[in-house]
Amino acid sequence: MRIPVLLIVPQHKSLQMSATTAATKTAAGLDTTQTPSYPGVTLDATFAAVPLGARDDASVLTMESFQPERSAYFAVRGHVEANDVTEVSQRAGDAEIFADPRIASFITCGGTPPLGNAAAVAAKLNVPMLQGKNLDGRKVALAIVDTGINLPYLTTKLGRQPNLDARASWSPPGTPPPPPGGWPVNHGTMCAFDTQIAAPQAALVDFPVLNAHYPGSGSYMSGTLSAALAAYGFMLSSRASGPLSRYQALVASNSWGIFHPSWDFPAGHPGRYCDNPRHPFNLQIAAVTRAGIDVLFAAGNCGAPCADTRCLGRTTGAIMGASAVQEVLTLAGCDTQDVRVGYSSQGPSIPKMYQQKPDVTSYTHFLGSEAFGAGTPDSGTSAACPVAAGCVAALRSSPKIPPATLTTASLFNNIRNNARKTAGLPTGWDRDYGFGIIDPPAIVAALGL
Amino acid sequence: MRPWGSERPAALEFNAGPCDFVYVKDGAPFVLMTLTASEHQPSLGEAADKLGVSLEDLDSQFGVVPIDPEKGTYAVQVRSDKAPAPSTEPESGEYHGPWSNPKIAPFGPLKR
Repeated sequence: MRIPVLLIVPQHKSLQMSATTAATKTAAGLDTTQTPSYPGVTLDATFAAVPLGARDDASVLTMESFQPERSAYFAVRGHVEANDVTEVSQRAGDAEIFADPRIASFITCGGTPPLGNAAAVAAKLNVPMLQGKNLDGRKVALAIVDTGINLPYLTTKLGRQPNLDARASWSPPGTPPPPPGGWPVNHGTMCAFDTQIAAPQAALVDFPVLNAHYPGSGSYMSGTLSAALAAYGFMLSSRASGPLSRYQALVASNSWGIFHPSWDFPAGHPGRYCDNPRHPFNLQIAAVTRAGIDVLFAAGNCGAPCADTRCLGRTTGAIMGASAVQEVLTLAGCDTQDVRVGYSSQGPSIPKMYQQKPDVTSYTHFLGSEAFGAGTPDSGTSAACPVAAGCVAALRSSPKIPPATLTTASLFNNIRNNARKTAGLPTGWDRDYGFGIIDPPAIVAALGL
Repeated sequence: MRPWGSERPAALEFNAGPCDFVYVKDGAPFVLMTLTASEHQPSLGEAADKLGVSLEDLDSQFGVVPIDPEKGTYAVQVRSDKAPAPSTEPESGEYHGPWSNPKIAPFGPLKR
């Protein structure tokens, strides 16, 4: 077995020459025919010697001591042949042998600080290019199906008041709730903020299905699926002939779901939701997309290796219910370095639902709304979904692709076909990223916008 | 119902049936049912007739919610003790259910 090692060796003319050349030429290597011999070690000729200075005498560790001509010691790279790392010696002649382990970026998990910020996300999506083409969400309604939006907080955070169409928003029945845009700062406000990265001119519409309970109304449907059912029923009707019909397009962002099948009817029950394409909400969502509403769902936060605790350790078949409906666009999450976040739910979906989910990946875990406190990231696949919804709203701003011309199904196909794959990922669909990272410029080019 | 965690508010009662959380109104648990109406969206009264229940057994605040208007599918909430037995024609019957109505929660900041 070939085991990579680093050697610390005393100065030698060949090492000084290697390090001197490397200071000005990145392709410099090591002339192994001129170096001393280190028994049992094969040196890597592609790795230039690195000056280490005087090593053990801190008093002489000056900048000058690291100059190749003055450095007392150098690091070189090589390998040894051994059956096991325990067989590797500590020395090889004049050289001390050290490990040269593989390194990797730390995967982003729930407690990780934010990586990048909203501006970084905007740069990744090339928002300036989109805005240069007037693809900024204008004439598009963007429904935040969530806990409700706090418009004053958004105004302060964005430095401008975003468009919010109260008349087109949904209010749950019962004791008068807060008005559209008047809900406490919470998850829905975070999602609304994140749509604004790519679609600052979209008209937000408030669909507070998750936080619509109020004592005394006698009707506690909030926080259960029937609230979403009622809200989407309203959306269908309004889009057909109500206030939502005035918009060129309508996009709906959904960053919610169930975390575990135990929240549902038992397995095999014909009325079950999470793995039943015939459940009325799954049927309704499919009908909504056929009606020309672009529906996006977050994949969930039950991915390995750092799933949410509410997933109860279940990380396979974790994309369930409406997130696993074929007609919706299902979003996984990556950080601003294009690395999948460790909790993003992975495909394939729960059995009996459409299997190739997630569809694509979008950005999360960045410093954005700070809706949960100063310095806290907009996180979860919850943030990835509205970031992507903003991209969809921006694309739909184009007069060339109204839903009547480019169906939701066709638009989502274009999004999948033009997603960006990072190095090392297989072509086609994979369980972590779907078809890749959402790439608005590529979609713009493909659609001729 | 809180969007976070698994705590349940007092008004949502633990059900001995298949689902932990049920939709409750005025102390009565309700269940989600669907019905078909090919010609137009039914009124609450028409929905009650199709289900063979009285108007008072349906949740008027929830109303009749369109699922797929093109296929004539709609949803209502029915008192669980008055809901009709499952249809004997599972593919073509006039009504279906009860359907699961689970708790939903945001995929936002993680619980660790």
